[in-house]
Amino acid sequence: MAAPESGDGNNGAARMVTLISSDNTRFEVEAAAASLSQTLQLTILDGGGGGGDGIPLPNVDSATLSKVLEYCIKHAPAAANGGAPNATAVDRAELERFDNEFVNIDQSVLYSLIMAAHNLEIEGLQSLVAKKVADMIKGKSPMEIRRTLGFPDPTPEEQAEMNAHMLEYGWAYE
Amino acid sequence: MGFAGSEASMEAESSVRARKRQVTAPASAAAYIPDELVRDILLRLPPASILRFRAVCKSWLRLTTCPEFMLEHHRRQPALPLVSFLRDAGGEPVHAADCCVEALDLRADGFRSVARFTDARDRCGSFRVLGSCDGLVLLNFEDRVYVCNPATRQWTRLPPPLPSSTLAGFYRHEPTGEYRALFYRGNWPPYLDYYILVADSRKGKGFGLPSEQDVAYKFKESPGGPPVLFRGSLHWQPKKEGTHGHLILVFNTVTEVFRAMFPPPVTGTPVPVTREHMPLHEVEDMLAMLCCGKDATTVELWLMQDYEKMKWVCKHRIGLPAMNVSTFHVNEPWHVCFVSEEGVVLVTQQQKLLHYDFKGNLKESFRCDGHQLRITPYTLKESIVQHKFFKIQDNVGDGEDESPPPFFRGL
Repeated sequence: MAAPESGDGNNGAARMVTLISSDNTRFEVEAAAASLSQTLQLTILDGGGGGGDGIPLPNVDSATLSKVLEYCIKHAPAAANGGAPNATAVDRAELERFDNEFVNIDQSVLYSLIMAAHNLEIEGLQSLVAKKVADMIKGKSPMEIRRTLGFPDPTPEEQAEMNAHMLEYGWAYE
Repeated sequence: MGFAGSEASMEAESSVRARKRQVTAPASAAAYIPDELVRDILLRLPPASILRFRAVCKSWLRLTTCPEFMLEHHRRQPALPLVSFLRDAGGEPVHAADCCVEALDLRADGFRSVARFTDARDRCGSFRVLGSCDGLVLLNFEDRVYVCNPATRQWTRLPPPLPSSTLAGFYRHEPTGEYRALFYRGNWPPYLDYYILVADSRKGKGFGLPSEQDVAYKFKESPGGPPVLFRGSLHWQPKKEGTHGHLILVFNTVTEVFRAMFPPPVTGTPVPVTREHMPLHEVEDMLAMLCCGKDATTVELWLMQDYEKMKWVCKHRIGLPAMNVSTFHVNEPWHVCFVSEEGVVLVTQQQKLLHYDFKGNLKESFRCDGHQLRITPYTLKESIVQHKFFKIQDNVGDGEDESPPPFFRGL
């Protein structure tokens, strides 16, 4: 992973922190990037994650963490600028292109990613995945949603309620 | 289709997903998604999907009918200007037309259908968008006025307005939470008379003449066009031939009292634009006035930077290519332009919508294959918030079962 120029400014080399996934893989990343996570930011501000210690993330596996960090590294410079104000239209377009590509992935990976974004409190990433999921499901029927979510088949009563709903809101099913 | 919509494109993806699901779908993933995350996803869905997904399970029904959820969903919707037009639908011997209302998304350069129906052409002429507030639109068809929610396709009919009344504005009355339509009758004092009709009541309420209490201004006029609802007040553009000069008529929707405001000063360099038309809009959370002459070659956009002190600033002076916006020949000139932070939209005689940025560059042009193309000053910000008055459809009180209005039939 190419480390971008510091977002950290004053002392030359950017501060690095180590994150440890649930399957014990160590990831070394700039503190500025990891700090996109509200959860990690607190630990990092307290001086954690440096040296040999590392911050354990028991809920995130290495495949997911590597994906999460890919997002954080890409978004760290813009976040350091306080978001959009200084960003040029070109920068914004590039981020948008990256985001679109980034969520163009398998459903199960999206699921792991949104859970990780939620647990690590990475607001931008959670929004990005939530938006993608919303786009994916907006045209589905209630039954298709149930199957996707792995719900058991509806009971006869539930089925009757679903049918009544469909009758009342037929137009929303077209 | 009037304007080609740009929905869909998810088809290909869903089939890919279906294939993969067989391999990866967890047995009961739902149990692992916290309500907060489900909520975050559902908030990003269009109204129709949310209504449909209320049938998924009890938990989704509970989430999506929670008042906070519905308000937050409404808050996130863009405010899109409404465009209306008619289209020939052929037919013999009775000539039929399609009445169409679409919401124009200037950011995405696309349209969403709001209402569409086919009827005899001479009846279609009476169809009008009269107002919009909180995702509700006020629609007029024949001699009836309806409050409708296009997002849920619910409707109720207002009590019949008095003969020869004109609608002045549509708003939410904060103290009661009622949606009220303000009408006036007559054209000059002492015959000018205001009254309101409420969406969930059979009775109208007289207003008498507007109050004269808070300005040294004797109110003697009817509104100069459709209002813009801003900061809890309705604002009407000045009348060109107003006897009091160019004053903006303001109606406070909480106290329901009228007052007047001063428009931007007619000064400035270079030569100020002749103010033939002064439609009001909302731009960047400020009250905005577009000033233009008989043609639209130069327009000024004024913003009221300090609402309390009525301080106006000329934000843009926009040179537009000389064209026949015509418009201004029609008796409802406000139907030909719209302004928001996305720029200026003009309707041409050739039934086109032209979208310019504030530098005067043409960003997009849409050709309408219908006629009587209008852009309204009203914006629709879709909402799934529930209203009790939609349960009452017999506002006339004659006990007859009323058949629904045709507005959503052709969607």
